[in-house]
Formats: sequence, structure tokens, C-alpha cells
Amino acid sequence: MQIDLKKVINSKPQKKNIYFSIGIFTALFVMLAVYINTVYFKESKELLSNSYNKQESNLMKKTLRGSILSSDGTVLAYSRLNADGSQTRVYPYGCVFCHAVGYNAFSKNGIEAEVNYYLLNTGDSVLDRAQKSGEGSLADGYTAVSTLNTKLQVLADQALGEREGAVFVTDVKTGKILALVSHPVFDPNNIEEDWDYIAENDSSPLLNRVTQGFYPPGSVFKIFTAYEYYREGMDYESYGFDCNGYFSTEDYRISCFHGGAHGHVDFETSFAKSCNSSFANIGTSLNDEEFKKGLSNLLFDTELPTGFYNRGVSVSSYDISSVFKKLQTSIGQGDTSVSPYHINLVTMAIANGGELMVPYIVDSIEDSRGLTIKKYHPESYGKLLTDDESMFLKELMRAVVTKGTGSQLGSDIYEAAGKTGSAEYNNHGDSHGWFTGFAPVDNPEIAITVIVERGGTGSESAVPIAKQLFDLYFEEIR
Amino acid sequence: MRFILPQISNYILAFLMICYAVLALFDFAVKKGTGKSVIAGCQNMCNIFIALTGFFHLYYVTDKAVYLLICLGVVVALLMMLGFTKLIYRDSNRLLLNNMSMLFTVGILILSRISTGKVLRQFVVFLISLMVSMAIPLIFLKINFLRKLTWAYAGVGLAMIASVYIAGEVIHGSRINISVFGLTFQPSEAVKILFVFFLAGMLWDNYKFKNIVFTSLVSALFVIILVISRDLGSALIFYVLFMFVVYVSSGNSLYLIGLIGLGAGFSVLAYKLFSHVRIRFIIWKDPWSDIDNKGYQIAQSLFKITGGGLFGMGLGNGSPRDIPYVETDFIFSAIAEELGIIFAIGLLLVSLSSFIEMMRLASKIVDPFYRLVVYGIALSLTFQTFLTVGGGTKFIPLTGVTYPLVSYGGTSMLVSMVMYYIVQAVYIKLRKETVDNALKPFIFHKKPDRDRNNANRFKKGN
Repeated sequence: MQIDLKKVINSKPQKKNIYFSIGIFTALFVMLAVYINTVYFKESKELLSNSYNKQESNLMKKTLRGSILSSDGTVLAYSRLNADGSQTRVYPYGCVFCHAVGYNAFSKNGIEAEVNYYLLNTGDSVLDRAQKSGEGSLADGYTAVSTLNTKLQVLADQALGEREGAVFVTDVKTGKILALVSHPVFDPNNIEEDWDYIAENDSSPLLNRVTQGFYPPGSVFKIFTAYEYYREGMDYESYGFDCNGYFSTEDYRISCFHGGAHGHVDFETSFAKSCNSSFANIGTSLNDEEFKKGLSNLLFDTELPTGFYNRGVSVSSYDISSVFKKLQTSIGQGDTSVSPYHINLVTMAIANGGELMVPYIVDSIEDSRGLTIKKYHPESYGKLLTDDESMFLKELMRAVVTKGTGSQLGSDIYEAAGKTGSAEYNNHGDSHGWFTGFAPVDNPEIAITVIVERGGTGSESAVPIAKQLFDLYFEEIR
Repeated sequence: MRFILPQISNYILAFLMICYAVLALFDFAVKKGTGKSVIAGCQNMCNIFIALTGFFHLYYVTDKAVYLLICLGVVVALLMMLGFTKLIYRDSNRLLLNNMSMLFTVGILILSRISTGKVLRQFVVFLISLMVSMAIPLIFLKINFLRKLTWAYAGVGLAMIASVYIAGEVIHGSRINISVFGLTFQPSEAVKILFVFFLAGMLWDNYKFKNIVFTSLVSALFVIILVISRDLGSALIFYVLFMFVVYVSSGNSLYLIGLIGLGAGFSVLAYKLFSHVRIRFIIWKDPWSDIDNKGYQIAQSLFKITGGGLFGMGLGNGSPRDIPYVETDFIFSAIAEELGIIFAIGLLLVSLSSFIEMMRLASKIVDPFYRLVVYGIALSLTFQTFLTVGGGTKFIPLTGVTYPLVSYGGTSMLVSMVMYYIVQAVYIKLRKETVDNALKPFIFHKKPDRDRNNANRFKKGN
């Protein structure tokens, strides 16, 4: 061994740099480890729902997919272990909850998609698992408890019957979704067998009409027009209009529904009796720029807030670029499109003193012993309206029930408020029936939005459904 | 008991792995002597128990006796490696040996889970590598002109990677492998060692600016050939090796800062010039929009890493083969899926422990040539580990390199083992010389106590 001593150099700085290298790479490894944990804790739930992820089939070897319950404890979905080790998903209510609970097949939707991670994972202890494995069964996945109310949902489904449309019931104080019905339906029990038929059906049963529907709002829109009139500081108390069945300006003409004349109406009566001519008149007095601002306050042209899994919610749109379009928009016709979900959000906000609670559908996650491991909490979106604005609209909507198109909702046990609509969808005067409203007026609890496609007027088609739901809620559930 | 065993085996495995990793890191705090032996012994126990638990679990859930056979093979192979090395080279470094055996155990365990067919080949490769590697310390003790072969390293190295570029097989657009007599080699792996020796040979006694520029030009040749062969992982490792070896040999931090900036500039240039570089980067930013095609691998890898949970799905319960090339480039993801994130992080700590031990050794060597060799090897192994794990987890863009000693693959196994044994050789050589050479104070930095102890021990031994 001969080392040329002259070449053995003073290596102080080298040593320092070696230590520094240790530091750099140790830091890189620590960052990597932290990153891996962050990905695991933050993204694993989302990644598990990716349709390319085959992890689910591995988990299904160990875990029986968890059940989904309604808020009252009824089983809405559960899994059965077959002799060959595969699992069958069963929906005891068949089509009734198909859009709310969703389905679990080659793809997923609804609650099945939202809490997929929990349904596939287990909270069973090692001993429980060993015992179950000894008995030839699997560990139990977590149970998801939804906010849905079985009675309201079943009734809404029955009341809509064979007709196409949507019913959406929410708790205005928390944002809990109590019922979500969209017709036509499909049977989630057989979705794989029926897939081709369901996917190609012209009436689109897979479409969730509550969130993805796109309808002209008709007279329901008068809530927005009235809001804007009030917001612009107009003198609504001394407003008056003589209705002889139509309103005309320049070369345009707006008629009342089926040409009926309302005589002399004040602001409240115009709203209650849903006088198109008067509202066209009101529309002309609105400032274009302010109108746009007001509509965007009430979530037009806006991504709607959601606290649940969805495949995109329709963004509502309008067009007031010409005088005639503005007139039509004021009464909810023209190029105006909304989803029932949007109308319900605005109704909830009005009912809740202006504050919008974001709708959600999963209440909690429980393990197989019934212990809650995760609780979903109400979340506020903020105030859409001021106290005064919400009070103003509440009174108008109450008048619809006391002396207007919603008089069928009169009841001894509750005071409802709302707005009807008959949204024409062709040039022959055929219309979809709308209703949106809440009760009780003094201290609102629930908001109901109904649309019946091709149902005629709102009073004929939508109001009776809302009536049944209000009755059920205040007589039995509350 | 029958039903509880498969349920808890993963907790046992994670526990043993963490014990091992903690011991490996704790080892640094312990002075030489009985303490270190006790730690090493405990580590060996952890290691053997991991093999036993893992393979018995696999045997239990699949009922295939082949796993018991593999288990026996692993235990025998480990005892051979640890025993022979210690027997022939009494002065070998125990921690590095233990880490090697741990990495190999985990690699075989997960490989036998992915494909039992590939295990035999991996065993054969391991035994050949072991035989080759065992000779290295002997060669190092006899030969003293390694530092004089600088140009041979560069010439042979360049010739090897150039031959791959000219005659190599194109696999997925990259030229990485070359076939000779039916055997496939990955020369860029082996050239890493030559490159380290080249750098050490160039820079150990001369770190003037002119010499560094000269070294840079040759290194640039290596890197450029690798980039146009589309072997981006190796290109990156070579550049980082060059950068850090210059930094340490010169003792000048300005080089590191300058070369990092230069590297960033080159990366931007490569991004602009080569579509394969752009694709890697785009997939890294967003694998999801092309999940059917180019983003598939990384997406599946992410599913595996997050899908197993902290304690894993359990050996045999996952589906690691969903990731294409899982046994070479994505072995870490398979480990995370079936053995859990805790176990996988433990594995990272084992690699880190090897790195720190090698670096500590480098810092104690006075001979600058061997110092740079050990430093370069530590860096190469560690940075490669970082690339494969970081790439598979989408922490950095994917470069498709192997996990040293863990991944399946002949060249990778051979080269990684040779690297470990080169470090062992330097360690053994210097410990021997510490006690019987007049140059004693120059070999290790002056630590009077320890040197005296070593000397005493040597005297007693005789």
C-alpha cells in the first residue's frame, strides 16, 4: 500500500460537504415519506372511486360491502355473499331510491359512489374478522346512514306516479336532503342486465332530473323578478296595474296564461295570481345591469354548491339582450333555463332568512357495532339574500297560498308558502307544472320543489304532490 | 388461532420492519463494541422472522408448498451471505450486510407473491452476484492501481453505452438492453460503477477548474448518449453523480449551486428538444387525462400505494400485476399495497440507513480516491432509490429505474451487490491498514481513543 503523501490532501471542506450531502438526501427521503403519507390520507378515498382502480375487487374478497340506511334506519341497500364468494347488491325498494342512493355496478352513482371508500372498508377488529372468517363470512364494511326519509321518498315517488318529472325535499335549516325523486326510473337491482335498454332509452332514466334537468322556469321565475324589483328599491307598495289579458310594448306582446284577464292588481296580487302582463310591466322597469347582478346573486350563471356526489349540476342561464327577451325572461319564458335543484336552493335560502345551507345526503358512517366513526355536518354557503329581502319574498309566497294559485295548500296544521309555475315548452301552450315552496312560514323547516313534465299548470299537477308531502311531513314525521 | 394468523401477519411484518429500521438508525448512536453486535443480532432476528412470517402467510393463504421451499432458500441464502462474508472478511461492516440481506428478503418475498416463476432466476442471479462480490474485497486488498485506470473507465463505459445506443433492443422506445448469447444485459447499470471510478480517478488529486471542465466534458458525453438512448433515469443518476462528486472533491459549494442551475437549464432544453422528455413530464403533471394509455402505469401505481392502507391488504390479497412492469420499476408500489405504507416507509429507512453508513465511512477516509468512490456509490444507490420510489408515487416524473437489491432484474441485482461490496472492500481494506500500516493516522481521521482500541484489539487477536 503506497499512498503518495503529497496527494493526501487536507480534506476539511470535503468532510463538511459530505455531511451536507447526507443532509440533502435525508431531507429528500423525509419529504418523500411525508408526501406518500399525504397522498394516502388525502387522496385514497377519491382514488378508490376511480373506475380504473381494480382495488375494489381485492377489498371485496375481505369485506362485505356495507349497507346504506335511511335516516329512520330502513335498509336502502345491502350486499349478499354468494356461495362462489361474489357479492350481490340488493336494493329492497327497487326503483324508488334509484337516483338518491345510486347504483353499484361497473360504474357507480349517488351515495354508492360518494361513500364507496367506507362501504368497502371495515371497522371490524382483528378478533371479529378472525371469528367471521372462521364462520365463512367476510368482515362487514362500514354502514352509511343517509339523510333521506323513507316515507317522504316513497310518497313522492307514488305521487309523481307514471309522469316524468322530479321532486326534491330539503331541510332548510341544515341542508339535509329528505327526498330526491326523478322520473322515469330504472331498477338498480338489474342495472347490468338492463344497461343497454336504460342507456339508450329516449326518456333518459339515468338522468337525475333534480340536478341535471334543464327546464324553463315559467312563473316560478317571478320570485327572481320580484326580488330584483325590491332590490332596486322600487316602490312596490304603491304599484298598480290594469290587466286585460296582455301587455304590449313597441312591437311585442306578452299574454297572461291562456289569455285570462286579472283586472286591477297590486304587486302582491300580481305575484299571487301570477299575472304575466303585470310582471312583464315590472320587467320593463328593471335596470339591465342590475338585473344581471341580481340574478347572479341568486346563483344564475354560477356553479351551484353541492354537498353530495353528483355528475355535474346544470348551470342556470338566461338572456336579456333584447327588449323582448327581457320581457319574456321576467315571466320565466324565453331563453331561461333552470334545474329544480337551483329553484330549491333559492327557496331554501328565502325560507332560512337568506342563508343557504348546502344540501347533503350522507349523515354519518357507522361501523358494524353501530358506533359512528364519521359525522357529516351542515355547511353554510353564506347569505344569498338580506333579512328584508327574504321577509319580502316570504310574504309574497305566503300570499300565493292565501289568495293565489297555491290555495290548495291551505291547511289547519301548517302555514305553507310557495310559487307555482306553468312553463310553456312549445308554441301550442303546453306546459310543465312547477311548484316550489316551504312551510311553516314563521319558522320554516322544509322546502319542496316539484316539476311535472307536460303536467299542465303548476296548480293542477305540481301543487297536489307538494300538498301530500307537506301533509305527511306535518302529520306524521315531524 | 387458525383464522387469526392471516389477519395479524401484516401487523407482525410491519412491526418487525419498523423494529429493524429503528435499530438500523439507532446503530449510528452506538459506539463500537458489544452494543453494535447486539443490534446487528436483533436485526438478523427481525429479518429472519420477516421471511418466516411472510412465506408462511403465503403458504397458508394459497396452500402452495413452493413458498416453504422459497422460504428455506431465502434463509439459506441469507446465512450464506452473512456467514461467508463475516467468515472470510472479519472486518466487514455488519450494518451494511444486514441492510443488504433485508432488502433482498423483501424483494424475494414480494417477487414470489407476484410470480413464483421468476423467483428461481432471481436466486441464481443472487448467488452469482454473491460469488462475484465476495471476490471484490480480496481484489481491493491486492490491487493498488485502481486510481490509475481513469481513462480505461471512461473509455470502456462510453463504449458500453454507445454500443447499446447502436445495437441495443428498443423496448417501449428506449434503448436500454443489449443481448449477448441470449442473455440480456442493461449496460447503463454497470457503467454507473465505471463512471464513479472515472470521476474519482479524475478528481481525487486535482480539482483545479481546468480539470473539472475537462471532467465535465467527458461526463456530458455519458449523459447525452443516455438521453438520446431515452434512458432518462440513468442520465439523471449520472448527472447527479457528477454534480455531487465535483462538489465534494472540490470542497466548493459554488459548484453545486452552479451545476444545479446548469442541470435545470439542460432539463428545460431536453424538454424542448425531445418529445419523450415532454411526455414524461406531462404524464407526471396529469396522468388522469390519458389514463387509458400513457398515464395507465402511474395511475395504477397510485391506486396500489393508497389502496393497501397503513398495514396493507395482506400478502396474496392485492393485485400487484395490474401495474405493468411491477416487478422492476414499481416494486415499491406492490410492497405498499400488500404489506402496507408503514412497512414500505420502513424499507425506505433501511435504504436511508445504508446511505448514511456509507457516507459516514466516506467522511472518515482520508485517501481521497476511495473517499470519492464510496461517496459516489452511496449517492448512486440512494438517488436511484429516490427516483424509483418518487417516480412510482408521482412525487417526481417517472424515470423507470429499479429499486437496488429489491427489484427483479439480473443486472440491477449484480451491480447493486457489487456496489455494496466495493464499499465493504474499502471498509475492510482501511480497517486492516489502520492497524498494521505506518500510515495509520492518515487513513482515518485522528480519533486517538478509537485507534488505540483498534490497535489493542489487533494485538490481542494475535
